Order: sequence, then structure tokens, then C-alpha cells
Amino acid sequence: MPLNFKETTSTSSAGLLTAVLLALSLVCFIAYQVEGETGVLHGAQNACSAITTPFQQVGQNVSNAAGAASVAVSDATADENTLSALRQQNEALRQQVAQLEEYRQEALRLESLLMVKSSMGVDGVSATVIGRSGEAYSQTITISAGSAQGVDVGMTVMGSTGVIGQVVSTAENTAVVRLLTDPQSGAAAVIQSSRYQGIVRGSLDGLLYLEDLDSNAVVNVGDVVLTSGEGGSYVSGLIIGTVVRIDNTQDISSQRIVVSPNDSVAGLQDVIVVNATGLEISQDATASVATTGSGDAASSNTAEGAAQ
Amino acid sequence: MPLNRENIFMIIGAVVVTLLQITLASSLTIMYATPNFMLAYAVVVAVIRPNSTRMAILAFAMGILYNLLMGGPLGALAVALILVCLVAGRCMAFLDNGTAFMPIVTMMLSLLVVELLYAFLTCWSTGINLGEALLFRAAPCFVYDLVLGFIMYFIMSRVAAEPDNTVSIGGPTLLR
Repeated sequence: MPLNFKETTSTSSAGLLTAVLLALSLVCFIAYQVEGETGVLHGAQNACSAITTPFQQVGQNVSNAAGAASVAVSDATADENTLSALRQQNEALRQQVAQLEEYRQEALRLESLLMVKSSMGVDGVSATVIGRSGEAYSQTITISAGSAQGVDVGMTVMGSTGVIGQVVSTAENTAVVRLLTDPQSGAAAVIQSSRYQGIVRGSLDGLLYLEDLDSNAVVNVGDVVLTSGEGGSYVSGLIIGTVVRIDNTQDISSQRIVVSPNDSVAGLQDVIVVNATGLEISQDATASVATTGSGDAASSNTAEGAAQ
Repeated sequence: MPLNRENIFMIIGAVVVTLLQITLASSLTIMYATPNFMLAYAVVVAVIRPNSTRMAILAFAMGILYNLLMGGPLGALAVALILVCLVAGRCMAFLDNGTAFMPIVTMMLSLLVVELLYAFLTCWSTGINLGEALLFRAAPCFVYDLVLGFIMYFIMSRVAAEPDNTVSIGGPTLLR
């Protein structure tokens, strides 16, 4: 009898503990939804994310080393056909580089004559990718620049050739970037040729979809998609990617437009957190020149009037 | 929860899988499948040692830690793990016949239900399409967790084997 009594008490206390922990989990879950991005639980999550960065970096280094070893083995076992194809490709690329260098020199000369800044110049903070998300439903990376380097939440992040995502949280020396392919991401976009605006969203299948276009919008495969800067979420004028597929072309209301990102995140190691683009810098410079010029014009008109 | 040998092993195992999750999970992603060492560990412990107190604490800790360290809606995995581990522990307490069949079947079903529950809670929280979540995340992650679960089960069933054929069900030790 005493044994049964103890057994009942232990079982009921275990059941009570389970119920308490389950209730606590539910409270956390609901509070997490309700509080928003700046709440206590989100802050705790961001703080823990910063703590795990060194461990993620270890894993990233292991992954990079494994990748390098794999490439080394592949190179060492390459056959003669592969090697001769690579030599031919190398020669073609050398010629191409020489030609591009000529074009670059010419462009520099023209720029200096016209005093025009490159519209694709980007001003920002460089960083390296030091970790990637290990959670199945989110696509994020951790970079080696944080608030101490001037990185702030909401800043656009670019790879070598296009936008890859947006900063969602910062620590002192690291930041977490939500990639465009994350299903929770969305970038205000514009089709470069037709100037129709929409939103590029990520999805769990890894593709980017261009949505919320005007019903009159005509989209063609090959159209370049840029950030529009609407809503202030992403810096404007940066390339996102290219339209590669349009599903269900007959019914415009249910079209699915697939955008191939210009930059792949798979092997990405270096990124730029954008402060401003050259277009914005040029616009600022033009505005200040216009202000100075109107001042000069006014003073010269006054001088001419006085001379007359 | 007293700090006996068994509980210490459980805590050490929890620390090890947490470190594995933080360092290796992102590097071991295959297509859309990301391994969840912490989830697999909690389920395997619930199957091998169906002790309600230990299960509840471990499931809660693994779930909360996972969402704190890896992201995702905080509390979602804890809710899914506590519910499933509780049911799995109860099933094992009553259906265990001393062979490996029941624990393995229970482990498989538990992993599947946890992934489904977590997918549902994540979609409800974030607005992601549930169908896509089940197809592109829950299913491949379940397969990955199954592989991890088998490995952990066979390691832990040998390491954590009880010496005298006794079983603890949240209370005094009962003889078979």
C-alpha cells in the first residue's frame, strides 16, 4: 500500500511537471508571436545567435576545408580531355580579359570627360560569411560585420553581382542576414525595361517569385529585375536577378513569374552591406551642384545687372 | 531530478547534440533537409528511457534551446517535443516487449509527428504555405532525423542498457 501511494504521488508530480512545462512552452510560443521583432524573446534569440557564431564559424571552416579537399581530389583525378578543355577555356578567358581591360580604360576616359560617376557604384561595409542557418525553415547567414562597423537592421546586403538579402539583427561584430530565398523575405522590385513594380518573395522550394504586379504588366523571359527602393526596405537600383520562367501565361491573375537570382549564396564568402549606391551619391551630388549653381547663377545675374 | 549516473549521461548527451547542432547542422544540409540532432536525441531518450520527469525536462530544454540558438518561433519545437515524447513514453511503458521492434516503430512515428507538428506551428506563426512546408521541409527533414535517430538509438541502447532488467516509470523502480 505505501508503495502504491508513493507511485501515485510520483506519477502525479511528473504529470504536473509535464503540464507546467507544456504550458510554459505554449506561453513562450504565443508571446513570441505577439511581441514583435523588438520584444524580449526576440532579443534573447538574437543574443543567443551571437553566442553561437564562433561555433558556426568552426562548422563553416570544416565545410570549406571539405569542399577544398573535394576540389583537390577532383583536380588530381581529372582526365586529359578535361585538362585540354580547361586550357582552351583559359586561353579564351585571357583574350576576353584583355579586351575587357581595353573597354574599362575607354570607359574611364569617357567618365572623366563627362564627369559622370558609375551608376552601379556601391558604398558599403565589406564582410565575410561566417555562418549559415541550421534551422530548416529559415534561410539566413551570419556575417562578420555588426553595429561596431556601422551595420544596422534593414540594410541591403549584396554579393559580388547582386542582392542576396537584408540585415535582420545585429550584434557588436556580427549580423544576421535574411536571404532573398527565405520564405519570409520580400523585396520591392521593378522590371528594368518596363518599370512595372512588384515584390520578389522567396519560397521553401528555393525559387524567387515576382508577385503583386500590375494586371497590365507584360513580363518576358530575360527581363532584369532590380530593387525599387519602395517602402525603404532595400536600396534602389540594385540587381536582384532575371526572369527565367513564366508559368500559366494565359491567365495573368494566376501567373507565377520565377526570377533567377543574379548571385548564388551557395559558395558565397564575401558580401557588402550597402550604405548607398552610386546613383544615390550622384543624385546627392547633383542636388548640391544644382544648389551651388543656382547660387552662382543668381550672383552672376546680379553682377551682370550691376554692370549694365 | 536527482543527479544520478543516468541523468548525468543524459545531460552530457544533451550538451553534445547541442554542440553538434550549432557547428555541423548547416554544413550537413542536403538539398532542403537539415539535420536536427536535438530533436532526434529527445525522441530517442523518450523511447529508451520512458521516465516522464526526465522526458519532459529534456524535451522542454531541447525545444527551447533549439529555437533560441537556431531560430524559428520560440516555444514551437518545445510544444511539439513535449507532447510527442509524453505519448511515446506512455506507449513504450505499456507496449514494450523487450525487442527492438516497438522502440524503433515508436521512434519513427514520433519523429514524423514532431516534424509535422513543428511544420504546422511554424507555418501558423510565419504564414508560410503549409503544403510547401510539408513537401520541402517536413518530409526531407524527417528522413534525415530518422537516420540520426537510428544511429543514436543503437549507440544509446548499448551505452544506457540497464544492468538488471528494471524499468523506471517516473516513480519507484519496478521489477519486470
